[in-house]
Amino acid sequence: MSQSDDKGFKADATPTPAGEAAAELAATAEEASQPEKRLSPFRRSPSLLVGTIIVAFFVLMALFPQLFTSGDPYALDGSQMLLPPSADHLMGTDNFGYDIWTRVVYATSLDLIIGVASVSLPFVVGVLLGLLAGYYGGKLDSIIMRVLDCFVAFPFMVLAIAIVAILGSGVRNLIIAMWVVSWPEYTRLVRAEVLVAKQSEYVQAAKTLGYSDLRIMFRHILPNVISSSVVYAASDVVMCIMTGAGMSFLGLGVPQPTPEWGAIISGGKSFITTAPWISILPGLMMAVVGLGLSLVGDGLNDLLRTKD
Amino acid sequence: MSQKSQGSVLLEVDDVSKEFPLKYGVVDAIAKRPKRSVKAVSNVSLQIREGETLGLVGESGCGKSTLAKTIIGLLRPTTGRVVFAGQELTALNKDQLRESCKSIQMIFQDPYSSLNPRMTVRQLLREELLYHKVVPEDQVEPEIEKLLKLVGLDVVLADRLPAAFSGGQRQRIGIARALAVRPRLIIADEPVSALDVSIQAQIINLLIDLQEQLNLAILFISHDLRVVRYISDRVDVMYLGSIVESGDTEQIYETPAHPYAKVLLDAAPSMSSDAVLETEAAVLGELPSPIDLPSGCPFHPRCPYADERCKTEVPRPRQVGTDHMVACHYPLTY
Repeated sequence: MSQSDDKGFKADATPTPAGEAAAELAATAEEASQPEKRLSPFRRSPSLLVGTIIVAFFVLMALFPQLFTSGDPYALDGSQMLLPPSADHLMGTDNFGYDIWTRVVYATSLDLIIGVASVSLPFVVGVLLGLLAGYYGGKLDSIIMRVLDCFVAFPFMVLAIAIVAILGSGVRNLIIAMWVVSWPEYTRLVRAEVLVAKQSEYVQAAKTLGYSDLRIMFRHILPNVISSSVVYAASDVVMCIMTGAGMSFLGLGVPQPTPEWGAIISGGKSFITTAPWISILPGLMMAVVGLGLSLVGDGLNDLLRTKD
Repeated sequence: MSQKSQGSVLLEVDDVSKEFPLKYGVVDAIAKRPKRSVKAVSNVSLQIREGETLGLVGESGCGKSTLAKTIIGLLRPTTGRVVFAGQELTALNKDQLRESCKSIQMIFQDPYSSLNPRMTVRQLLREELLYHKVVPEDQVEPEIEKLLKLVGLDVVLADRLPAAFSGGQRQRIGIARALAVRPRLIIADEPVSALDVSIQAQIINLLIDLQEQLNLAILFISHDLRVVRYISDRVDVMYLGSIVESGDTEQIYETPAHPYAKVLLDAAPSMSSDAVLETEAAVLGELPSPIDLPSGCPFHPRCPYADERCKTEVPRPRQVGTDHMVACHYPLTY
């Protein structure tokens, strides 16, 4: 389905079947010749368009699963165990007789929620801390960075597993674990850029104009340092979905029989030689979501990056 | 031009020093090393009168920009006072400084980094005018048009981002930004050194025009001696954080009294055909480190005329002509 969307875009955005890089070049050249004419964001960044289409497809699937399948994700059929993909069962069935496609479709909303919820709070908190640490420097910076060091001293997954082990498994605790482990990256990204921006003459100029620190931080520095974090956040959503799936795979995430991509993949691990579709096809779905979000991140990067 | 020098004193820098402490680590403490610092500006005094242009010249790293930042309040002086229009800026707290700093504005060196890349010209000026309530809200748009016209930019360009402008145009925007809050003193820190020579003249002439229209005082910082001679009423020559010579522009250019000033002026390329670099004009060695300043006269390690007295005794500024001061034991022409 996403493939046909892809074709539709190509016919629409670029007259010749040129590669993505060529399309991007053309867009910049066009912009340079007529600076005042604002192109739509999708025309300026083809990857944003493709990414948005893919993500929109999955959002639709999350909101209206019944449009994509008529089955019931909890319906067991003992006579239909371990069947390969067919017209009746698009992704085959597993050892309990669950229809995998149906379960994958119904799992979309949960996995997207895990991804987005895990990223949003660390994004806001991480960016704010990075801004404060970079702008004020000195003791505040030292305190924030030393606390951050404590968090990054542990490998990402190990810390997440430890937190879930303490709090207990479940979606809520999984998201809390993600919050704890993923904010430092935003703080580091923003802080590094603030340190550079703080020295720039436009910030000095803002200071000589007597603007308050808050105004300088949020109106003059933040818009110029946020882009890398936005781009990172888009790919971080994928990372969090992956980690969530990984936790389910280890039995620490979503309890059975709730449909969740990691849990489905995990369920197929005993049958990987006899019924490989159980793990591989849901895995492919995850890969496509990841591709879509990465393309969105890439596209945002194209748009947010300033030209000089 | 010197008739402009009759106005009352607008800015007085009184014995200002600025030191930056070097990092003092645990190892240094254990080894009982003395705390060291970079002496960027040492005991500088200068005055700017209303409506006059003071040129500040010196080679790179001699503390010109540090002095400028200290005057404008971006840096706090280690010792000394900055008095502006009767108000001691160095005694004010951060909030009071914020209010009074409107009267001193700065034009920056690099037009490519001095404008926020994400704000259009209109947004930039609008924020400034509203923040400082320069004009009532309904007057903001006409005021923006007026400012752009003043610096020679077309109003139709107001909704563009800085990336759409050339270096010279950006510098004009920078000037408009500085003028929007109606300052009485403009500090121009190397405002043309990043521009093409043809554009330099435009910007310099714009500054001179604006000065006449608005009765601005200008502190013009540059290492380009031709430009300084063209724009300045008076000149201060800075060397290694100290002012070594100050006075009327023509006097200094015609009869420099400090050996360093002479070397600096002789080294400047001249348009005349008989310009041959004299051998005695060459400065010896490198600029000394501002961490370990030379004893006595800061210029003595490089000065062709230095003797024992220069190595031990710091020369006091002394008068060598009407409005001509020099800090040297053996001034050249007197």
